Amino acid sequence: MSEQIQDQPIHQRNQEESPLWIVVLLGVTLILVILGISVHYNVPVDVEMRSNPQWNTLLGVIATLGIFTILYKENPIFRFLEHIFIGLATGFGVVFVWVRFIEPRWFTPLMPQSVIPANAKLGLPGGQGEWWMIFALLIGLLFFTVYFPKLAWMNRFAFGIFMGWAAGAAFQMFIGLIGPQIVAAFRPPITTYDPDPTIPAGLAADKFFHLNVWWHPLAFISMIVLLCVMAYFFFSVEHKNKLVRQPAIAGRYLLMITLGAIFGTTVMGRLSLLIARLDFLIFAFKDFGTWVSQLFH
Amino acid sequence: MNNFFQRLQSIDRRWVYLLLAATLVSTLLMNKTVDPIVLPSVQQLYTAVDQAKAGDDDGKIILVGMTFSAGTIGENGNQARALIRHLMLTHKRFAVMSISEPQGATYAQRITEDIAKQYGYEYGKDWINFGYQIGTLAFFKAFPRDIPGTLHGVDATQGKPLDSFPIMHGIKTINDVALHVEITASSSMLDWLQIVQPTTKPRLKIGYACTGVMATEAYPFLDSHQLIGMMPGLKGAADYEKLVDELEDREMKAGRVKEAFNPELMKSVPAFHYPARKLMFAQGAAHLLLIVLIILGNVGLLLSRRRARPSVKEVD
Repeated sequence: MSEQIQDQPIHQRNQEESPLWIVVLLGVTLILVILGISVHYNVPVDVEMRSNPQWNTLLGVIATLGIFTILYKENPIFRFLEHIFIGLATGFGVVFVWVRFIEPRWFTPLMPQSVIPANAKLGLPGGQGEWWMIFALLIGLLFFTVYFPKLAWMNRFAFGIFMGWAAGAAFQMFIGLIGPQIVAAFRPPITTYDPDPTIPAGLAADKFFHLNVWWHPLAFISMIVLLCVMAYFFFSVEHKNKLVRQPAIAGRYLLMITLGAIFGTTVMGRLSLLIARLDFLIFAFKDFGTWVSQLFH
Repeated sequence: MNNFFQRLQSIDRRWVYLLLAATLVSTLLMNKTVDPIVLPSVQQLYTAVDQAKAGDDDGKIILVGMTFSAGTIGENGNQARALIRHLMLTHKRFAVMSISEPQGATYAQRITEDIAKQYGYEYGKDWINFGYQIGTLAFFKAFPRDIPGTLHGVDATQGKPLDSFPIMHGIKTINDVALHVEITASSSMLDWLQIVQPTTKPRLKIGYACTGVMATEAYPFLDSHQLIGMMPGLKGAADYEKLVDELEDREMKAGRVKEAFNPELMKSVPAFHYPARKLMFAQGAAHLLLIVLIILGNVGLLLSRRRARPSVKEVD
């Protein structure tokens, strides 16, 4: 346990990997698949296997513990499961995008009724014969002409269309996102009216010496922080003048506080994810006896 | 003593992992619940949901984006559970959907379905699943203007036409959405803020439930009122859950709710056995452990530096 873990480059690890491990782990996969099929064969399940939670739980426990083995040492079980997860996520994504998006929104409308008939039971219209939707595919295919030197010039059409579209939209999006931020950044710290509904969320509006003047301490702090951080990032002049240097130094410390807060919440977030997995494992082991007996019943 | 502190700096990280795991498992098994002080941003989100006009007679719905996957179920799943419970306890009509996250659509269906069984919510009448949507610029441009058209006219659960569900009657544009709450582990909230919100009048109210990592960067959006409230990480989920539990108690006393919600009955997603407030107890213990370890490590560092520095006598 006391030995230090030596992180090796991936290519080096792959060179050292024994083919025996590949065979063993493929064998384990095969056994799990056969076990799964045999369990499902006798148990009536719905499409998403929800009525067979013991099988899902078993796989979940194996995968979770297998992934946790990386905490001890780099090992083939972890790498095997890592690749399984990447493959699963990619496969799931591709199928899901086709079934839920491309097929109903592009492929079905494109096809004629004779190919995809209407489903009266579900009230779905079926193929629409909207042949012009094929142009979407053709424009998309232009991206791939980059692999053929003689046709590569054609991908400029596709890039041109998307770049122009994205550039215009990006400008609009920038204004939409940053506009309210700029307005919020210039809220006055002292007002002669009670601006309660307009001040940033959570600020108190205090009356100041009965002079009908309202002071908003958080707006004041916010303004100071904004100016200091902007001074830090103001590189057009050298930070020699005190008026620039001092706020810039303060801005650097304020940034550090922000980064510390971000790091703190990151640690908190990662712990939450670990806790959720432990929650799963604890309940899985609590029910261990039950689901083993169900599996082999 | 100095040796002890020096050794602390070179401790194998696997011991720390083991200590952390032992702390978390033991505190989870203690089964204790925390009573958190509710964050102002969580209270704002709760109030916004409470006041959203999405009841049976309001002709509007609340849109809940569940843009997360298994990786962040510990945070986003608990947030979703607390929010959906609140929506059902206050009899709001709502739609769930997932932008650019295929797993999110499945979780949206399962989580909502499991909770609906306990509160007697009916699919198609009280809630609906818009399913997975590709979060392209085209989607965000089209969705506010024509909701059924952008969803291709069908729901994600039964594949039936949207207009065959009572909840969808009169729901045409983003103006028919009283509030949008984005539960996310990605930057999908920015798309709503920068593409959808500026095009709406009055501005679309957007609530945000994010992972702890993303919370700090979202606070400026609260100040500028672009976000109406926020539920940050597991802490936000625990706070929100506390408010919902209090509401449920009041509803039970008034006789409007028969039985208290039981998280252990959520069988579809096998990571939801403990309430968020119990998970927060374990999280608190883990934080304490980390703080102690950081302090010990730093004390060790300072002592070893002092030892390495030659004293005045030695220099003489």
